[in-house]
This record gives sequence, C-alpha cells and structure tokens, in this order.
Amino acid sequence: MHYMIKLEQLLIGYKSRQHTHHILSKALNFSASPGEMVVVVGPNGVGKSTLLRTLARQQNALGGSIYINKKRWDEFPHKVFARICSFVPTGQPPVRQLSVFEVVAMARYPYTHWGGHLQREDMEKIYRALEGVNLVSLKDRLLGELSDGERQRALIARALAQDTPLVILDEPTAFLDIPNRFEVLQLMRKISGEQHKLFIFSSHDLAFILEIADKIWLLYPQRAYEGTPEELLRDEVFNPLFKNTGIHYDIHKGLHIPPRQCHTAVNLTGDTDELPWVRKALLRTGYTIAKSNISRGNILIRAEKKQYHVLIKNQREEIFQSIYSLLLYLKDTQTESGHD
Amino acid sequence: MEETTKRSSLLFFIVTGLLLILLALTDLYIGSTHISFREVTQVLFHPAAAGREYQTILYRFRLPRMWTAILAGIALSVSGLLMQTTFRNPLAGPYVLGISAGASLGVALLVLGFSSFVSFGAGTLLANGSIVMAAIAGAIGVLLLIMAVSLRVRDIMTILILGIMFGSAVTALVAILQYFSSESMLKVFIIWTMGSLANVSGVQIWILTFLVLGGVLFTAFLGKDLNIMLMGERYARSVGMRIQRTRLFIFLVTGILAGSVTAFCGPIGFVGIVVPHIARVMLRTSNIRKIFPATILIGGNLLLLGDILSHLPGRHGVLPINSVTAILGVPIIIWMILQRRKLSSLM
Repeated sequence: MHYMIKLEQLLIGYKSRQHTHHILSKALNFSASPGEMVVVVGPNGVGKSTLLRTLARQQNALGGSIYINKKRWDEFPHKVFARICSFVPTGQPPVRQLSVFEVVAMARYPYTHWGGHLQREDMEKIYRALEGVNLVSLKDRLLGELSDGERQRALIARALAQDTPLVILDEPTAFLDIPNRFEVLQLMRKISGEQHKLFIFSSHDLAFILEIADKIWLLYPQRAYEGTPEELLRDEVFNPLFKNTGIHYDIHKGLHIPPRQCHTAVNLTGDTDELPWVRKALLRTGYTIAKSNISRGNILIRAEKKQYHVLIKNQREEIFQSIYSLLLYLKDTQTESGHD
Repeated sequence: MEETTKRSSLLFFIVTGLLLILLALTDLYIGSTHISFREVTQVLFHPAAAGREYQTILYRFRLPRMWTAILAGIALSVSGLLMQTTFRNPLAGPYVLGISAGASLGVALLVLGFSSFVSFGAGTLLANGSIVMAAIAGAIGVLLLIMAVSLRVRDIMTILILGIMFGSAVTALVAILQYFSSESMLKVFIIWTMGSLANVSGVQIWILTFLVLGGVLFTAFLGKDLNIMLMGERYARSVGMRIQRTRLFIFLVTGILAGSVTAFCGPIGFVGIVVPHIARVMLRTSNIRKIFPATILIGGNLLLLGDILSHLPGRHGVLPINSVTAILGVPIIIWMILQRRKLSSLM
C-alpha cells in the first residue's frame, strides 16, 4: 500500500529553555494517501494546530519522524519542501491592501527567481487556482474588502497555486457561516479528487466531517485514533468528545441532540406535508407524539396548510397561523396547569 | 478595474517625479544669499557665462545640500518601509532598532566624553569628519547587537521590544554624558541632534551617495521576500523563505541606510514613519513592488520640502531640519489617522 505521508512515533509539543518537552499528545502513528481528505479532530487544546504546524515544518517535532514519500520530512531543503507541502494557517493575514491576485501569486515564490517575475506557467497555475475556488471575477479585489468566506477561499487558492501534492490547513472553516463552511469543504473535496491532492486539515464541524472525510485522525490528551468515520463511529471513540452533553450518533439520523424533557403526550393529525414539520417542532420542545388514537391525550392538534387547530380538554378550540404561536400557546397552558 | 488602477499609479509616478525636479530646482534657488532664478539656471546650464561667486555657492553649498536632502529622504523612507514591513507595525520607523540612539552615543562619547580629557575647539569637531566617524561607530555597534539578538531570538515582537530597550538604555547613557559635560561641548552635541543637511561636502557626499544607492539597490533585491513578509511569518515559512536570514539582511540594509544618514546629517525624525504610509494611502496597495519606488520618490520630495521650509526665516538663519520634519510629519500622520480611523488598516 502506498502511503504518501506516514507519522512514526511522532511527539509534538513545545520546548522552552527551562522546561523539557511539554508534550500535548502521545506518540502518533498515522498515515494518509494521495487524493484523500484527512481531518484532524479533537477537543480544544489537545494539539491539533501543533500537529499541523509540525507536519508543515512550521515548528520542530519533539521526537519521532514523518516520512513523505519515504523520505524524512526534515531532510528536504526549504525550497524543495515548499514544492511538496503548502500550509494555510488559521486566522486572517495581517495585510489588507493586497489584491486577491497578488496574494495568490505569492504562492509562486518557490518557483520564481529573485525578481519574482511570473512566467506563463506561473500565470496558468494562479488562474487555475482562482478558477478552482471561483474567485477569478474578484481577483483585483483587496483582501481587506473580502467577506470571510471569500477571503478563506482566496487563502486556499494561494495554497493551491503553490502546486503541492500535500496541502495542510489549520481550521479552514473557522469563522465561516454554514453555507460558506459547506462550500469551502465541498471545494476542497472536489479538488482533492480531481487533482489527486492530499488535504490534511483540522475542523470542529463534525456533522460535515463525518460525511466527507476519507480518514479521521482523532486526538485525545491520552490516546489517538485513526480510521474512516464509520470505523470510529462503530467503535464509539467519539463519545469522550460529547461527554456530559448527551449527544450521540445515530446511524440513521446522524448526530442526535437530546430534546428537552417534558413528556406530555400530544395527538397529532392532519395534512401530510405539514405533519413532519409540526412533529419535529413538538419533539424538539419536548412533547411526545401519542400513537394514533389508542391513548387519547389531553391535547389534540390538527395541522392543515399553515393553519393549526388545537383542542385542549375543557377549553375551546384555538386556531393558529404559525407553528411558533402554536408552541407558545401550548407552553402557556402548560405553565397555567402547573400553577393549579 | 485593473486598467484604471494601472493608469492612476502611472499618473502618480509622473506627478511625483515632476514634483521632485521642481522642488530640487526650488531648493537650489533658496539660501542665505539671494541668487535669481535666471542666474541659477545659467550656472547650471551655461557655467561659462555665470559669475564665479555664484558658481561657488551653487556647486560648493547648494547642490550638495539639495542632493543630501534627496538622499537622506530616500534612505530614511526606505528604511522606514523595511522596518514597518518586518515588524508589521505601522509605527515602526528607521530608528526602532536603536540605530540613531547608537549614533548619538558615538557622537556624545566623542563630543562630551572624549573632549573633556583632550581639549580642542568645537569648530574643529564639526569641521573634520570625526563626528561622522563616531556616529558610524555607534550605529554599527547597535546594529551588530541587534543582529546578534535576531540570530538567537525567533519572535519578531521580542526583537522589537529589545531594540526599543537598547535605544532607551543608550539614550540614558547619553543623558549622563550630557550632565557631566561643559556648556560649549553640550551645545555642539545639541546642534548635532537637531540635524542638518548642509554639513555634507567633498568626499563625504560621494560616500553617502554610494551607501544610500547601495542600500536602495539591496532593498530592490529583497522585494520578493518583503512582499511575502506582509502576509506574516507562517506564510513566509510555508513558501520556503528563510526568515531569520532575510531578517538579518533587512537589519543590515536598514543599518546602512539609517546609520549613514544619521552619521552625516544627525537624527531626522518622522520622515521614515510617514512616507511609507503616504505611499500606501495614495496608491491603495501594500505591494512592495509599487510602494518601494513610491517611497523613494515621496521621501525625496518630503525632505526637499523640509529643507525649503527650513530656510523660511531667510537672512535670519536656518531652522533645524529635525524640527521641521516633525512639524511637517505630525499633521500628516494625524490627517491620515482621521481619514482612515486607524493606520493598521493600511498595512
């Protein structure tokens, strides 16, 4: 089997003059292959960024080694390594008054001579990277004028234009809203498939990651796991991530967040288009849906097209125009009966 | 969009280039002796027809002064740009490394310390090159210290703070020397700290020209690295740049540029901080490829303007150039802050 990158007994952390090694995690033995999306997952502060920075040679390892195509990663000269591995740090760069094109063009540093003059091949790589992240139309926009999502895409384009088989990104989806997160991850997935690049990045978006990752490197302070999302789910090794939250993963429903506790049963009938939405809203607020007419509860709800009829025992029928006002009414009657 | 920015930056370079020629000619026209504009052009273009006296004034005094103003403006502005880029700090200038403090310690040791043991007149000190030598020695001393530190310390902020600390310590030493020195020598030293563009002559002007042009040429070679440094160190490292080595080169060039100007003209403040900002505001970019030539042109212009303004009292003498640049520079900084709310958004 051909591994592009292989971590052997890798120890990561920081070294200072007084203290000996401050190791953030145990020795790591991971691997990854070309064309994969490898996601580093773990609780805050466990050393995800440290691991990525160590891989990208931004800081030294404390022990062990990393092999890239069977050669130790610290044996490559700087300029050669820059043609193998590109790195996108987290956060935004301090500069604002550079255009998207200028930023992406900087990726050609390891390929141009001192004047930095861009040859035709450099231009092709730059435009290909811009096209990959759909930013050609914004190439003259200044970095400081971009939205968070556009800026992140520009920074990814910069890494792509460096034309490396390995791309390492530290939290590329942090600070992005959900559509932008999805877009950025989808872009990376598309590019890794098309251009056979290996992407290694950290992320907290477990819901997305479980669907798109080819491999997960899971870090805990005392242990580390690697495997496909399915293997790790099957072995229930994610559970420490959710400790005290009650969240668990359901093979059919995905990430499952426990509802509020209420336990009042409700009878629900009505329009088939409306029913699932009303049911979801009721379950979320903590009601249970009574099994058809077998056990008649105190509350009867009939859902029609954007009209919700509620009949509570000993009260007259009410009609609401929105699910929200329906829930509000239910909550009010609940607290009233609670006071009795 | 790209076409319009190209055209407007071309316009910028044409206008500032013409302005530089205009200010340079104006600077030649100004001085304690009145020479009419017609006579100035006559000396420049038909020297045979012009009077000997005017020829002497122009070639011995005004041309060197004008050329010194341009060189000093360029050198200080370029080293300011280098420091702002390296430290990614809008308030960094040519002197953050403590180079001018080092130069002033050298001069103070000569003027205030040494002269108290060996007595010789204040006039001889200013006339011969010993002040320049002392200033160069002091600047090189601090520069070597900073370069030694930057080899051991990786964090750029730590280097900045250490530079400021060195500067403060050296300034304190200078204050002690001042306290113990005689009145006449103290005056020589104070006058040196006020800066002057008029004391560079003869072979000195060639040395200054060589050092400044060399430093500017060296900076041009660093352009590619400087641009990457704008993105921050992690990016720089990720494209294979060797940051500590580049930093060492940058400190060396800054030392040559700021050190030589300080040695020959005394400390001249604010030019180095203000000029790169003006360039960034006017060109709306931080790209060193555009900012570097713009900084050269604006720097030359600004110090020529400073020199012209310093001659405003006319017959009654010349204002110290260090004060003029401060009075000129502070309103520019304040205006830019009010315009853009914060300078860091320019970087």
